[in-house]
Amino acid sequence: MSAFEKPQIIAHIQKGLNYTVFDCKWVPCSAKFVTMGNFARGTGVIQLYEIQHGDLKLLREIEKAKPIKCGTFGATSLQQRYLATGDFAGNLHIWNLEAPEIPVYSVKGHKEIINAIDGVGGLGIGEGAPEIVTGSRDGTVKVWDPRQKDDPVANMEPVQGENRRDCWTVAFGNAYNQEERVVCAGYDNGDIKLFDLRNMSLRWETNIKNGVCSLEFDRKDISMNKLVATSLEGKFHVFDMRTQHPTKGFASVSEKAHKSTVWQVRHLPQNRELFLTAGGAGGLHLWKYEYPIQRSKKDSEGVEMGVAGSVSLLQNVTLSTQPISSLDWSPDKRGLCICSSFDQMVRVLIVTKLHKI
Amino acid sequence: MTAKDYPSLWGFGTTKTFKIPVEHLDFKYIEKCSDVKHLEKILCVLRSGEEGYYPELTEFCEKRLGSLAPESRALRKEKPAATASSFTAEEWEQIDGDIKSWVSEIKKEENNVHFHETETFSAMEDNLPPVRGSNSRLHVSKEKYSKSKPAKKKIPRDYAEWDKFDVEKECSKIDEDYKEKTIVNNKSHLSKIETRIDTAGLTEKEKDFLATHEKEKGNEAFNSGDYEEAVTYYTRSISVLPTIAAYNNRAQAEIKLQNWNSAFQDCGKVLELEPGNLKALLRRATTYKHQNKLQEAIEDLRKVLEVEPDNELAKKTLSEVERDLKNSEPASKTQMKGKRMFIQEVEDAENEDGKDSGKNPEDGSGDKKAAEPTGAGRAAEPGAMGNIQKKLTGKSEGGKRPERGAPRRGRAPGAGADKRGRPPAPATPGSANGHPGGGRGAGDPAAAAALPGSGAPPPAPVSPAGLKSQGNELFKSGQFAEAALRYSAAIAQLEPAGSGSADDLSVLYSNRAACYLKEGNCSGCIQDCNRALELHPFSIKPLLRRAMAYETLEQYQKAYVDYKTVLQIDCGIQLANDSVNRITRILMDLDGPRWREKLSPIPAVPTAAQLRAWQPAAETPPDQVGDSCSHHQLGVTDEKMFKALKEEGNQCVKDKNYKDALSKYSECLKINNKECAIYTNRALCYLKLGQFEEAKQDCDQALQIDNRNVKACYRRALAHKGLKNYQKSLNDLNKVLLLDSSIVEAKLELEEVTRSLNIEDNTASSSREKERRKIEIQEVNEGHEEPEGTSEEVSTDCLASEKGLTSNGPQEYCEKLPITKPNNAYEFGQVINAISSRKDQEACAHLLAITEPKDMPMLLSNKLEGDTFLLLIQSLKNNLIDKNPSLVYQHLLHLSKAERFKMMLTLISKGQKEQIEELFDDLTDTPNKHFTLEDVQALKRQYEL
Repeated sequence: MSAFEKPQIIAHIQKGLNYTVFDCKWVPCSAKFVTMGNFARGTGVIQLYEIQHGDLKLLREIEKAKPIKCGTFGATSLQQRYLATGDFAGNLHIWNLEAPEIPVYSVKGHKEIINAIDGVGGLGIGEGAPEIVTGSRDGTVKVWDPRQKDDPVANMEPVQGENRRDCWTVAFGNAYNQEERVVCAGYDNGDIKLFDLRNMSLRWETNIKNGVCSLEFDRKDISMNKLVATSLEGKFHVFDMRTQHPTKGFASVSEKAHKSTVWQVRHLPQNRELFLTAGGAGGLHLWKYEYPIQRSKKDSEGVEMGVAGSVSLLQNVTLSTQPISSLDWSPDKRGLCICSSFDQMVRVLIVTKLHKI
Repeated sequence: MTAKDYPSLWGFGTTKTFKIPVEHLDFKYIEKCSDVKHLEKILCVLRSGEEGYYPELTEFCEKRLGSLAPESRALRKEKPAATASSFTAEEWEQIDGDIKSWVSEIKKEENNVHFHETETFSAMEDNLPPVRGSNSRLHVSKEKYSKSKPAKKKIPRDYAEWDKFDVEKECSKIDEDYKEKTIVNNKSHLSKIETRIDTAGLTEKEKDFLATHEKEKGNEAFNSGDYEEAVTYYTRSISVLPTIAAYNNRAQAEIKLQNWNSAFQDCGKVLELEPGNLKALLRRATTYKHQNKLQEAIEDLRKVLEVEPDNELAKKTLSEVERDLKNSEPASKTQMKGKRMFIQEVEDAENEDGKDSGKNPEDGSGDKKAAEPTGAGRAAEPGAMGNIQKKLTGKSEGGKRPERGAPRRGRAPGAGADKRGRPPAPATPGSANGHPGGGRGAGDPAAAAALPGSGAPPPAPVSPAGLKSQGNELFKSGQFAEAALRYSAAIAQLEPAGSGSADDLSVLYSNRAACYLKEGNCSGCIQDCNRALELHPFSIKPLLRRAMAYETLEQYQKAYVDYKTVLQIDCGIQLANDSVNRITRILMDLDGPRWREKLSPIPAVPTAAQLRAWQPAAETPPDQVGDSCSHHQLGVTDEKMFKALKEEGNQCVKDKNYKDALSKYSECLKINNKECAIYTNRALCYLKLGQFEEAKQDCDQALQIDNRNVKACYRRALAHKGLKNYQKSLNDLNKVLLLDSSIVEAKLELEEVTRSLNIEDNTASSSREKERRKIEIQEVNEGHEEPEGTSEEVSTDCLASEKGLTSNGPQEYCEKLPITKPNNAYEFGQVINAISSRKDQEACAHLLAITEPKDMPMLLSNKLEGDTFLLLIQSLKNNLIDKNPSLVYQHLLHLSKAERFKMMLTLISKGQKEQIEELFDDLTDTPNKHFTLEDVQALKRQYEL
């Protein structure tokens, strides 16, 4: 079983936890990561782990009043490394992990649980101001600037009287200069909406028929290139975001990846064409996107339209019988990855031979 | 009843899930089956075990499927994650060690980062853009078009506008404001990416991180083929922290973009930082190769091969370069042999220059100086003509001429650097023969005989026309040397005829020039072109050929001048356009930003020549295979041409070169006058050039094609504003805002125009008052018994009475004219003359009442004049509007169809125009079922109001 040409996914370290873990994130510029979750007694928890001698060492455990659903380092500087979290009560907090007793920033952002959070403008990723976007079950998507207390800097919500869809996922993108920035949000009914923050307009929307579990741009800090959206029934869609057709929108390719829900998608920070999807049955799939020969063509009326490429499966493994709830690539070490699953486990994975693709 | 109930019909029956005949679950069947879908189904059935458990058959089926479609989803299996045991001890050690070393490394670095924590933070803050406008809300709804406008801070467009958004139109427009552009342009973002990153307040670690990150973005862009984007990101990376890898990668991206010079510089940087960097050496060799510095390329490649003897790429490139070098060597050998000849040639050339100038008056053409200022620069030309290089891009087939005569001397980029050192003259047989051939034909037969390339002896004397057609044939079949021979013979026969056959001679020279050009005999080509141009100034083909020859000789300035001249004659020639762009780049590289100053003046082309270019020349020389001289002649489809012209026009507008853009668009319209966008674009150019009347006409055209074109409407408003027709401008702006309420510029303009309108209204009313008073005074002076009734009356017929008074004509109001319905133009003319001599509005109104409006154009025939027209308008306004508005409307409508109407409109004064306008306003105020407001508006447009 040696001398593989394909990349291999190695379960390097596994650790059982005594709480339900929802999210895990690498602390930038370190061998540490945080896990966020929910104690059985109904409180929230953040744990900080470090890889030491091939094992995980718990550095810090922080217990908070409300279960924590999601977190991001995306809007913090490399020097500060503050963690922004969203909890079950709709609060957005920013924590200094060195002094976690009082949040650096706190706002009751939503009426209900914050399902998803994303940050941009920090860590040297994305031009422009540091901003955090949160998506909630109350149907709103709000953008926050840590420098402004209490109020969001942008609020995308349904019109009064219309039923509110549960927002499951949010993602920043297109932050290639100081002005441009988009937020993409996915909803439980399969809607994907792309909001242009510069113009404060809805730039594009589509429906992929099934709830959108996870959305991610291949990179946040370049002119929109690709967007991957995963769905409840095991499919994912890759949109080529470079060419927008006035009626047809963006070209996409879809692939049936897992036999169950695809909970997460994460692009490799060192190579945007590779991404990992995490499935409801505990499986991980590593994909590669290949561009078509021509990325755009003219339709019958001479309007430019995108051409989708293809995806190929590089590797797949099954880690657990329970869904994998979160996934994060190390921004510093190619191929290093953590994932958490609902069997209360966190795993450090190594994916080999990624540089050869 | 389904087939399932009758298994006998299906032989052994079918499987449950996919209804596959059971006999398909068989080794032989599977082996032959090549239907992937079917095999997948079979595999699914076998795996499910519903027809029994056959492990071997399943495996066989998997193999078969794997061989047909290795990517098949059915073959995906759940696998456990790999562990240490999945690898050999060695491999595992490597993987594990890699992680361990990284962990210890990152820990060290992490500690370093945190030393700086507080000091640098404030500097970072300062760089950040301000907080986004507070609480901008965006309401999202499913029915996105049926909702109230959200409270947004900046709202270029709301959802409803997206609905109206016509992308095609939008695409074809050149938007003055790029930020408003909502079309996703693949390349548009490139210009918006900052090429520098502000690194103030960043630690070394962060800079390193940033630089790596930007480089990775560059790598990704490179891999997906976006080389320009890649260059941008590498540049960013370098701006943070210059690294060898970033320079090296940027060099590679530049090579892909064929920016040899930049690539060369980047390689140089790398080699400065790390002498002997193999990648940089290889890449520099590539740039040398393409810049035709073959010796240097070989040196670099040898260096690479010293270190890495097995480097495939280096070997390949080396062999290519050596081949190129060999190809150029025979030429240099002939150069050695032909040295004597070459001296002769230089003399020849010099003599010829003398001859040329001496000959000039004889020819009687006399316009040589005017026609060819470039000729002034030609004295230097023999000196530099040896400097033939491969064309820089190597794109055109001209770059690979196997029988190219001149040696490649790449060292000096500037033309004329070789001048001093007795430059190698074109030593090809072609040129050897070319000069005597050109030399007034005396030595021509001898030269033809001396031509080594032609096996056949020169044919028996034929007529020049016959020789020419033979030459054309030979040219088409690619035998350029022999074709040149025929042409030379023809020239020799025609030469004595002198100016009588100047046209034919010109064509022959031009054709021979084409042959020389093909052969690579650039100097010969240039000389022939010169002669052709002497005989026939400003013909396109010789100019083009000369330009190509100059370009090949690296005399870019001259080439540029020639191409520009060609473009003046016919700006649709793609080849010339491309070349001008290319040469501009080269010249900028060579001479820096002030390159234009070194150019000799570009001759102004007389319009006659331009016109001539429009008619496909009857004297078209043979069309060459690869030489796409002229679009017209090659019959490139109009559509392509149209697009190209439009693109060029748009480019010109972007460069703020409105005059050129104007001509491009005008040409577009000659091809297709139904394209709305061209009119609006041309209108923009007119606006920019301050030609408002033309702009307005173009907008009118555009609006005729598309009544709801916002751009056209807006631009017409601007034109009206320029023409000081503020009212119309106002109307147009209102229309614009009606179509699209979010156009900020329109709102601004509207305010401005309203302001101007108010001012004008004020001045107008005051002037009217003045007028009125003046008339009163006059009347008093004249001492007329007829007292004016009310001042209102005075104001309305002020003009008429004024005229009447100044002409001192007797005012015979009392005597009524007997007016009958006129039956023809003559009768009408009589009546109207009588009326206008008395300024009798009532009589005129009567006449208008009894005349059928639709007969008016016929009755007026071509006699419509300002005075008559004004009288008609006044009587309509004062006498008829109250009684019968629909008749007034009808009259106005039909008046606008009369002959000379448009012409007359341009002649009438502003005051008169105002009167018409008042009439229209009255008409608008009196609603009627016979016409609608829109009709009036449309008519108003006819009256250019």
